[in-house]
Amino acid sequence: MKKSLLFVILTVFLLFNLVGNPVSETEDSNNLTVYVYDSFVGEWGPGNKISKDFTSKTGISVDMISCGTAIQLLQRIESEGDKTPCDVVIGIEDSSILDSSLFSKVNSSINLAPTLKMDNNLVPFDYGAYSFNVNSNILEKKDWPKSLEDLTDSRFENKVILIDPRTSSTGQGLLLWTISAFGEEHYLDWWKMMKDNALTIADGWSSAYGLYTEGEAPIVLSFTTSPVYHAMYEDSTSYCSIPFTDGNYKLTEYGGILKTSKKQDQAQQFMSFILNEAQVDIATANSMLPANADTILPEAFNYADRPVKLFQLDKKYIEENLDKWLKDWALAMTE
Amino acid sequence: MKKKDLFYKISSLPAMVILILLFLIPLTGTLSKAFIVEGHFSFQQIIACLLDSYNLRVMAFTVKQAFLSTLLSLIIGFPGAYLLAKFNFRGKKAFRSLCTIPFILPSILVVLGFVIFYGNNGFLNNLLMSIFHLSNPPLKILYSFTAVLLAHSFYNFPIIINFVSNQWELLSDHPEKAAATLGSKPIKTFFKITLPRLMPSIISSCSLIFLYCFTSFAIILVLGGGPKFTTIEVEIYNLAKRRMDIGGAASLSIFSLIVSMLLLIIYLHFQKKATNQEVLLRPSNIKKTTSSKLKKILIIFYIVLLLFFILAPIISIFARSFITASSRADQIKSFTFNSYKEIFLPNQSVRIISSSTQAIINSLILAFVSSITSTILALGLCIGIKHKSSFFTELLVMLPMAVSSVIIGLGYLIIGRYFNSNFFFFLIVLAHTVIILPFAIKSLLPIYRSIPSSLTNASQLFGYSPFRTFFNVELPLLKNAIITSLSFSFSLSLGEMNATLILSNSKFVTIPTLIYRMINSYYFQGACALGSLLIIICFILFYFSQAIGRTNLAK
Repeated sequence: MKKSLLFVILTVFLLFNLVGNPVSETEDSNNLTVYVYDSFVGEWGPGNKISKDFTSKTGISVDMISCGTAIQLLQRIESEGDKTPCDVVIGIEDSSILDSSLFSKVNSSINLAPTLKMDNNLVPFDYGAYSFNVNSNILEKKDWPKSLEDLTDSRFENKVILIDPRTSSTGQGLLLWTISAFGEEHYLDWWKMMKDNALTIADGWSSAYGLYTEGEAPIVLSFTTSPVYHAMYEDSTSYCSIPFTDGNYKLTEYGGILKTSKKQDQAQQFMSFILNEAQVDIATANSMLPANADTILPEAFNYADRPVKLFQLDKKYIEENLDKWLKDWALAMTE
Repeated sequence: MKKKDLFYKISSLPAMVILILLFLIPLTGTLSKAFIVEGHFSFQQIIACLLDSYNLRVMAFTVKQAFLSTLLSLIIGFPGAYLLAKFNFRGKKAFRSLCTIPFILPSILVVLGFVIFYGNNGFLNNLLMSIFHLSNPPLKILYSFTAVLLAHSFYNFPIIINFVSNQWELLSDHPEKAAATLGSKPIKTFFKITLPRLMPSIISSCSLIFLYCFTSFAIILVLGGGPKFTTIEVEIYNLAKRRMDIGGAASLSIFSLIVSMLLLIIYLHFQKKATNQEVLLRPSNIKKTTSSKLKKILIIFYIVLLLFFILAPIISIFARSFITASSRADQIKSFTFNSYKEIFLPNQSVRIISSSTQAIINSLILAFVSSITSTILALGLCIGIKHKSSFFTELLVMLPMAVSSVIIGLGYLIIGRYFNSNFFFFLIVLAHTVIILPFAIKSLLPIYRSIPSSLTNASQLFGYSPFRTFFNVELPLLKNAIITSLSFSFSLSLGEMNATLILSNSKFVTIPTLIYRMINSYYFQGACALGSLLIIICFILFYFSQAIGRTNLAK
């Protein structure tokens, strides 16, 4: 018994050494550490291609660390403080609250798409709009919803997949959308009226969109540009987005260089790469519109209908009220 | 005498050090934020949190759903426990192994299995629609409270079957026979004599199930259908991860921790009681067959129903792994081996599924190392707990089971910062060990406690040191329990996702983290294929661990 125990212990220690370390972090100056949200380096994300292309262009290697959701990414930077190994952050959403003094100015000058602007040293790298998307195989075009208000109609009973604003940034986008469309006094009425129409209120965009592509419901909260993905990779045009007559809510994704980074030069090169060469890759992989107005897009982007009107709330206004809105929302929806 | 004490004292030391460093310190660090308002110590935050009407509603719902889920699990599992304890039938081992599978599945996979089978566009509804020529799905099971209860009991009824059948098997049937001789009817005997004696295992398993449902997250959010079914765990997640209000999250966690601790204390108390009861060392009262025809029909009916309940989501996962929605016409689905080709011939694929072989190897090594580590540590702890009878140690060891995974996650985030990323495999093993340890203890401690102290005393009387007594006398008696502990720990580590996701960066893949990422990029076919492999591995493991265990019992 003793011998076998000894044997087992030895094997355990051997195995510890067998599993190689996939990450070898070197402190050489030709290496950038970039924090991104999960899907950026995920299956369809542009991350891997961008790292490769950037390295072959400049010789600087890139370590992309996926930090969970966009919110968790921020959390990580804040909790790591001065000690963070991170040089560049990619994927901060405009509704996220962040101390802007963390970032140094990005020097790249590009022709930004209309309505986009620099925000406290953070640079937009892509943008899009939240929208309700339909599966045209299940729902005929004449039955499609036309506006937020139309969506509360009883013909959509149990046909819509919404997303929880407490657990998802996409859900939070819809919350802000309804606030800009109906005002602070009336947005909750819309949500209450949606109770019967919502098949489920999912925890995040991925599970919502997964349920939608599995055919659980014909309508889902997503982005105007989501059909691009289906047109490009699945050769399918049956998933469509609907520009609502009363407008859609805008989403912008930002990137920035941390002040604490000791590799400001390399980081500037990387940001310039993101804003120029990488724009097509980011737009197609993220199914978003490029921030650089000079980008030439593939044809599939014609399947993404452009919104008629774009809403956007003032950042400060969001910052001051978001807690209260979320709380009121939760109270109203759990009644 | 001194030396004897020393062995009993240091045996639990390694486990305690790991628990304190990797669990207790980060936990206290996170929870202490509940008491700090603007840099000062204060109870303000906690009181405000506990008096908030919305929070109270969430707490009430959490308790309600946990209670009902526990009840349903008990109703589903109890007949199964009876069956396994009292009868021998063909395929019993396979049945037992199958009953254990749901318990170790990552919850996202359970959710997926449920959607594929019970969903509006799921197998069940599609079948009914084509049989009865309906245009709308007839069954609305998902996205409701029923779905939550169903999924929770799918997950947890194995606990009832396991705990209760184990106690029942070892219970002597002399009191029942005596009652029958005295003219008591079987039903009366069951309620007056058998049931009271089974109570310890029923209560301990129920308190455990209650605990799990109390901290449930993914199942409630996705299958429940929305915020009307908000649990404390969802609210903790919301506060900690979305609003970065760690103080608020910590305040709620403290409430949830108190409830969980109470449940744990109940669990530990009754589990001890269950093992202290008179036991037969050899289960001799297993009947081969039953004479009554009605009973036979009822048994077959139950087995078929239960198999349907367990197998429907599992087989759905298997089936979905072969279905490719062909691109041009989205409605036409075809049978392909694509996802398996991508797993086993990784060079032909660009998708993340191509790292499956790496994930399988990583997972197996991780599970192997952490199951052995935790079983060895658990053995040490058992020695300490039995001979020093330390209730505190026991509670501390079980605590990781009771703490919200979001809060544990925040703790890991803190630890992760103090470690060089080169040690992350080591860190994941230790995290897995902490998470698995309660289960290893659960499989070992009751059996270790049931070793008569006369045996140990006799051995020491002959001059054996406690050390030698343990290795030469006690350890051989624990062989079966060790096998159970190893196989349980192994499969739990294989299915563990949250800690691995937090501690490893995206480059270290395991089976569940890869499944998670595939589901997130809604590549369900691939997720199901890898999920199927996970299920098959666990089934084989349980089947063989039982085969070994049973032959030992027969000796």
